[in-house]
Formats: sequence, C-alpha cells, structure tokens
Amino acid sequence: MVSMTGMDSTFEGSQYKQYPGSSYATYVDFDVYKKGIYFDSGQVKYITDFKWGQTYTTTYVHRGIFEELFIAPKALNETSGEVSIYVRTVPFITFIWGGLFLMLAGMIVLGVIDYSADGKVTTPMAKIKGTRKKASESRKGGKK
Amino acid sequence: MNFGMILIWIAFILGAGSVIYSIIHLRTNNAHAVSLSRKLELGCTVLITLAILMLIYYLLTVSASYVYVYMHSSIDLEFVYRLSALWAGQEGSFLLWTWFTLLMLLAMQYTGHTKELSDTRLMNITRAICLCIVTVFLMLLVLKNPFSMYYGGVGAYVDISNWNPFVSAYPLVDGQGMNPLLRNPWMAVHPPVLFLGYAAFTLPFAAALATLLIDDERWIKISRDWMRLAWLFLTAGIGLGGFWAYEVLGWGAWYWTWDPVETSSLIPWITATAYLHSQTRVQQGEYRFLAPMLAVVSFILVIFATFVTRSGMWVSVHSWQDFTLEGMIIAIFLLVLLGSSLVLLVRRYFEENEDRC
Repeated sequence: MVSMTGMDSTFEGSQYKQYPGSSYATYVDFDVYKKGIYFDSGQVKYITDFKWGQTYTTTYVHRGIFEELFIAPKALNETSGEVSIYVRTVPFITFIWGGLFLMLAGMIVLGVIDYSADGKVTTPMAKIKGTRKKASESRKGGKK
Repeated sequence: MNFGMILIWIAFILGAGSVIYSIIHLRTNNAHAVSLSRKLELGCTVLITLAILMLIYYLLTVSASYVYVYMHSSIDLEFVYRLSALWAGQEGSFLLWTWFTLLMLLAMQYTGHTKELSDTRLMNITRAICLCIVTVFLMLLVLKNPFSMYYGGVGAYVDISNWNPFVSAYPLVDGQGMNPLLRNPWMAVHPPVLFLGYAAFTLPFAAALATLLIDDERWIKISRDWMRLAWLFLTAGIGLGGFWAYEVLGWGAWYWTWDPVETSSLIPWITATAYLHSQTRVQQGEYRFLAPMLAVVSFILVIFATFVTRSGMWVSVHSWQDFTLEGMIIAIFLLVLLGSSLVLLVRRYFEENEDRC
C-alpha cells in the first residue's frame, strides 16, 4: 500500500520567457507499507518543462534480488491536491541485468583467451613440434 | 571564420581521395597509390578528431551561435550532460560514429594479429570498402554540418548557414539545452556504447565482402575479434538503453516495448549472435556461404536501424525528424549495400553448389 504524505510545487531552473523558471516541478512524498507494516518512504516528481513543452516524471525504484517496487506519478491535479500513482511490483528484473552482465563477461573472457592464444600458436605444426620436443626431453631426463 | 565547417569539408575530400587511391591501387597495384591513400586516411582521421574536440569545446563553453550547440547545450546544464550533448543530436552522433569507424580502421591495420595481413589484397579490399562507407558518412556530415551557424545582425532576420564559413555569427548567449529525458547518467553512456558497436560492424562486413570477391579464408582473422567487439558493445548498448527505459522513460517499469528503433537494433544483434556461432566452424571449411552472409546482413541491418532512427518514417521515442534529404541518402546507401552484397552472395551460393556437384 502507498500512502501520500505531502505534495509541494515549485519553479525550477533559470528564468524562461514569462516564467520564473524553465520548469514547474511537483514533489510527491509517500510512505510504502508492506502487509500493513511500514516499509520505506520515497519521493517522485511530476515536471512540466516549458523550454521543451513536455511533461515527464521521476520514478521511485526499491531494488531487491527477487522483486522490485516501481512507483511513478501518472497525473496530478494541483487545485484538488489529488495525484494518480502508478505502482508495479516487478519480479526477477535483477535476473535480466544479471544475464546481460554474464553475456558480456563471457564474451570478454572468450575474446581475451583467443587473443592471447593467437600469439602463442601460429601453425598447427609448430604446436606439435613444440610439444613433442618438451615431452621427449622430460622423458629422457626421467630415465637418467 | 567557421573552422569546424571547413574541417568537415576537408575531411570529406581526404576521405574521398583515400577511396579513389585505394581503388587505383587495387586495379593497378601501384605502391605509390596505396601509400598516398593511407596518408589521406590518416589525415581524414586527424581532422575528424579535431572536429570532435572543437565541437566538445563549443558545447562545454555553450557557443550557442552554432545550431547544434544551441539545440543541445545550455548554461544551466551540468558538465557531464554538456559533454554528452555531443551524441544527443543527429549531426553529433554521426560525427562520433564516423570517428569510431576511422579509429577502428586504423586499429585493424596497425595493431593486433590483423597487422600481419597489412599488405595483402584481402586487407586492401577490406580497407577500401570501409573507406567507402566512411566517405558516405562524411558526405552526410557535409550535407548536415554539425558546425552550421546562426547568422544575421542583431534585430535582423536570423538564418542558418550550412555552406558559408565566413558569415558573422549571430550572438546568442544561451542554448535550448538538452531534452530532460536525456539528462540521465545511463542515457549519457547508452548512445556512444551503441555507436561503438555500430562502428565495429563495418569491419566484418568489409572483410566478408572482400572474401566474397577474392575467396580468401583469412577474412575470419579480421572478422572474428571485430564482430565480437561489435556484439559486446551492441549488447551493452541495448542493455543500457533498457535500463534507462526501465528507470526513466515512463514505460511503466518495462525495459522493452518493441519500439521500432530498439527492435531494429535487436535484429542485427540476433544475426551477429548467429554469425559468432557460425564462425567457429569456418576454419573447418564449413559455412563458406552462411558466415559471410551473416556478417554482411548484420551491417546492412545496422544501416537499416539508422534509417529507421533518422528517416522519421516510424513513430519512436528515438526518432529525430521527418523524412529529409539525409533520410533519402541513407535509403539510397542501404539499397546500394543491399544490391552489391546480394550479387556477391548469390555468386558464392552458386559456386558452393557447383563445388558440391
């Protein structure tokens, strides 16, 4: 459950045309309850950018290994003080990032191994000759 | 005087000259031609490096008389985002992509195990194809110069100069700044990583075309590491883009929404992954048709992804503009790549079938 605790609006950035700031931001504070027990507090912003003529939001993400909580404002009404919030519990999202990281790490390891092996073995014949010589010398030494 | 604009023009002339001399060398085996071609290529790389440094300087100091700086940098922007403004727009990102390709081309010729192929016909053809591609990119930069400037007297009509480097700049003290959605650390690194991947796709493509022309099995020496690098950066780029979308974009905690541009960058990733699997058997004499085909298709799909982004034909969060001359040139370039590759691939396909018979 998400409970709103406050809402405040202000102009931000340098002066733009007739506005005292380049954007108008509304800060929405909230508390999050999990199974009725207080879990965390957060803040999200709903911003109207005058320079770019667009609105955008900041998000709240509570990270976890097996699930994450995502909260973002959808719409708000300044006069009535009402805000519509988007809340989503995202399961196993960490596994996506972990999988990507593993793929990248695997490719780096593969590249480094192949790249370092390139200089050592130039032809299959050179590899065979080198191994045979070393092996025969060690066997001779062993017999002595 | 607008030195940046002139740098781009000279870089284009040097790039075109380098292509012409490399083709002369391939036809006549003239050693002087290849030497001259290499010098011109080096000169082109130096000039593009200077152009990048110049544009970074203008972005950091907010020299807003330059259209690109006005559109993407501003005084209230943090240092890191003024820097990342280099790849926030079309012209800057193309400049960066061209620069990466030129640097990788030099790295291929002068470093690593591909250095030993430096005077072979395979390397010369690969190099010539890469230079052709770079020259097309440079032509696009000439047409849509990152150093275009606002000119006109104070209070008079203000226009944009893309062709005259001697106009007196219209004095502007601040720019519009960066789109707020792009002011994010993940977004600051996502495009250059992606462009590194895109640039690295050029070399396996050129090597594959070279082997389709002269049937040299050593092409895999060039394509192996560069395709891995391309795959690595493309994977990281797509991942970073997904992470940004998840946190910022307001897709509702979704990292993937089958947006036309992200889908078009996933397709070359799939073909590149298939190529990486096929190349393990090339040294055993297998996949003589499939492996070059996948390398060629991967790069063509990268250019297609660029067309999707820059043509404005598809509605996407990545789109920059409506269909313009630049979009048309990319479309023509795409058709030329597709046509020439198709001819060579069909020839190889029938050769392979004849060998089996």
